[in-house]
Amino acid sequence: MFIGKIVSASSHIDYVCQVFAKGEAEVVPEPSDYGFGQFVAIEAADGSSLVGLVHNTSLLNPEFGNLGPRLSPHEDLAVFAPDYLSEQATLVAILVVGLLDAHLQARQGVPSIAAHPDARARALARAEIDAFHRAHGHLQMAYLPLLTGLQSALAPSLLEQTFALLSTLFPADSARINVLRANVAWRARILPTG
Amino acid sequence: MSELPIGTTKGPGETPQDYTFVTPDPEQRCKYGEFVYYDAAIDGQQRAILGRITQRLPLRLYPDTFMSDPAVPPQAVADLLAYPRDDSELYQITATILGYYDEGLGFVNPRVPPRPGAPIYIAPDALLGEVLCRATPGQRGAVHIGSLLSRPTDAVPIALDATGFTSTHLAIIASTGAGKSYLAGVILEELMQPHNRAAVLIIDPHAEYDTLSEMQNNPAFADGEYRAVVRVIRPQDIQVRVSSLDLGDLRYLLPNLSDKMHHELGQAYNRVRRKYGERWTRGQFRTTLLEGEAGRPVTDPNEEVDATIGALVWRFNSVMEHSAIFNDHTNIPLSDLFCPGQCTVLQLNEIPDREQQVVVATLMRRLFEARKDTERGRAKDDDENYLPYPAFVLIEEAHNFAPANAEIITTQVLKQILSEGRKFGVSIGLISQRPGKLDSDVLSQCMTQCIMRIVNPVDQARVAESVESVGRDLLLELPALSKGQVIVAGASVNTPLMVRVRQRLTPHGAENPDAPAEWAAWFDDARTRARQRGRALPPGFIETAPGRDDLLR
Ligand SMILES: Nc1ncnc2c1ncn2[C@@H]1O[C@H](COP(=O)(O)OP(=O)(O)OP(=O)(O)O)[C@@H](O)[C@H]1O
Ligand SMILES: [Mg+2]
Repeated sequence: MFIGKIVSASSHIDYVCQVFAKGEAEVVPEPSDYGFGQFVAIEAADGSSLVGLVHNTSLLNPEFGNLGPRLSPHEDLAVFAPDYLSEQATLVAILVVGLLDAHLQARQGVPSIAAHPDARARALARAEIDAFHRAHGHLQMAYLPLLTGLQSALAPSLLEQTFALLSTLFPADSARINVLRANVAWRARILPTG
Repeated sequence: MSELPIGTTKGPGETPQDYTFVTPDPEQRCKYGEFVYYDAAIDGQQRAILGRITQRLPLRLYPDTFMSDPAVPPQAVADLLAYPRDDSELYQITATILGYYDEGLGFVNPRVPPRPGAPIYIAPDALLGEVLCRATPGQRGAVHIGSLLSRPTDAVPIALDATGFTSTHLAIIASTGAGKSYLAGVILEELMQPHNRAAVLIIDPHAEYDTLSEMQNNPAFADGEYRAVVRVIRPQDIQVRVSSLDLGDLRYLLPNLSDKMHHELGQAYNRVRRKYGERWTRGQFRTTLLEGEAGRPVTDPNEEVDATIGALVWRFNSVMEHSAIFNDHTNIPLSDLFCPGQCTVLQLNEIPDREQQVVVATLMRRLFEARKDTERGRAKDDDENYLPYPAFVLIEEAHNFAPANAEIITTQVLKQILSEGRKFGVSIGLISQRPGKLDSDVLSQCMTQCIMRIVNPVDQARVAESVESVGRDLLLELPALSKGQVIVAGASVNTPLMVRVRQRLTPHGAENPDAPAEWAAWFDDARTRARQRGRALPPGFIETAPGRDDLLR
């Protein structure tokens, strides 16, 4: 199920996706489909998809601060002005961390190709998340430096959330994940608070 | 070895022998002095490379501000942040490599530190039991003094190898009350058990070893025909034949000699030996003194004598005639003092210091000469100085017999035994609470060291300079040791060890006096009640009532 379309990119791996609003897609995505830390796939060339993580959300609302006179109440607009298009939108930032080709072969890290404008993004299914992370039967997170290098206050939380998700998907690797998780938690929670 | 690793190698330490590893150590097993190992292939063979923990540093310290309320532990603050408690502890441990154990060579350092990331294991009890000490408790030559301090009591028994300290000597050093005499008692018990049957003597200036006699009634000290013998020689039974004194002893014993007296004494000593040989009496010595160099016979007892000679005779008499220990003909036979399976306690209490020193000097000299003569075939069975077995002598208050910065009569013979004794099977164990007051050469020649709690910095420094085999890291532990804990190092163990001394089988003879209890007992005593009664009676009756004199008698 698609959550939205790519509208912009601030770098080769950092995309902005506009979430489909009512009328823009057959099924309108639920907020949980594009929540923080969600693994998503962005359609790319030859059946492969860029795999990314939702790492930020922003809201677009031109009416904010516009307190001028209005002809009719908001609810009546659809009736009285059917050509009036809603210009409110939810934007999510997606950090691309790898690529899944048409045969579900994963390549972690910065992909060579980029997404084109209007490429659609969808939430990754559990099986795909598993496929993306499994190398020789074990968990692999070669893209982790891309997350830790993210210049954002949300980066530690993104890491912790990703670790938590992968611990449940890869219980055999949870001890390894825990080593990293504890370290991130110590540096993100304890040290800055002291 | 199947155990789970305790930590992971981080990298090299400060010295080539050190490495560091990181561990969460939830059970606090990485104590100071604990033994750990890593596996390495040495000449194609997998070996456990042992090391000892010398430092422990926490890596994750809670921010200071988490501790601003003493009633709130920092973990509780971390709980607030939903930080899991178990994850906070992480330590960097420094370990010093001892090496792998080779039956023939002892510990061999492989000179390869562990690979970074290599797993580190806590050494299992059984492994330590095999490699830390050569001796196995209960077997010949084993002196089982206790168990490894970093493990539960008796998990890793530690036994000194008696062949080590009975050839290259022993020192027991600690502040007062640390448990030196107790440990000495344990060592003596072990030496007297059927598996050792040693010939030992203990110089006991405070009469605190007579409780060892209990060994004679304890089945642990008997086996078949064998039964340990304990012989306590009371001060009044000590006998020193004057002719076993040498010139140095005489000079030391006689007070305030002038140069001229020294000269006359020396002359007379040589003459008396020329005339009467090895055995002379006090009377013969006096006569020799009075006869002078010319050998003029003394005929008139009232004849004026030279003032110097007179003074010398007077001094000689005052020491030799008024002391209970000197006599003309008898020494305690060496074979009474030393015999395999016998522990002799030589009590020196109530004997003045100088005489104690003379007793020890003459005894040690006789022992050493006898062993030399016997080994070289110069003494035969029945000879007074025939002693066909090695002997071990423990000396309490050793600083009185080999003081620092002074050469007294015992110093020389002790030094001689320390340097040559091993050839002739004479060994000594020195016990002292003031290593700072002990001759440093003497201390450094004791190749097995038992060091207990030492607080005084001067004493610590002396130990550090004289005892090479104990590493700096262990010396730092000295003030922190408790009663009955000992660092053993040197020739009788494979590596320095921290040991918890075992319980004595016989009672300890030097229990600390309990003055408040004795004061209290005085009041409970019937005599006291009687005294109260006596005081309460009217004055006229005091004569007949049990009065002060009765009480104080
Ligand atoms: N291993 C031990 N287990 C139990 N008690 C001990 C042990 N070692 C020593 N003690 C007790 O500690 C006290 C002092 O011990 P000890 O007499 O051996 O001290 P010390 O070092 O010889 O002292 P000093 O210098 O006064 O001779 C004694 O009461 C003894 O019972
Ligand atoms: Mg003592």
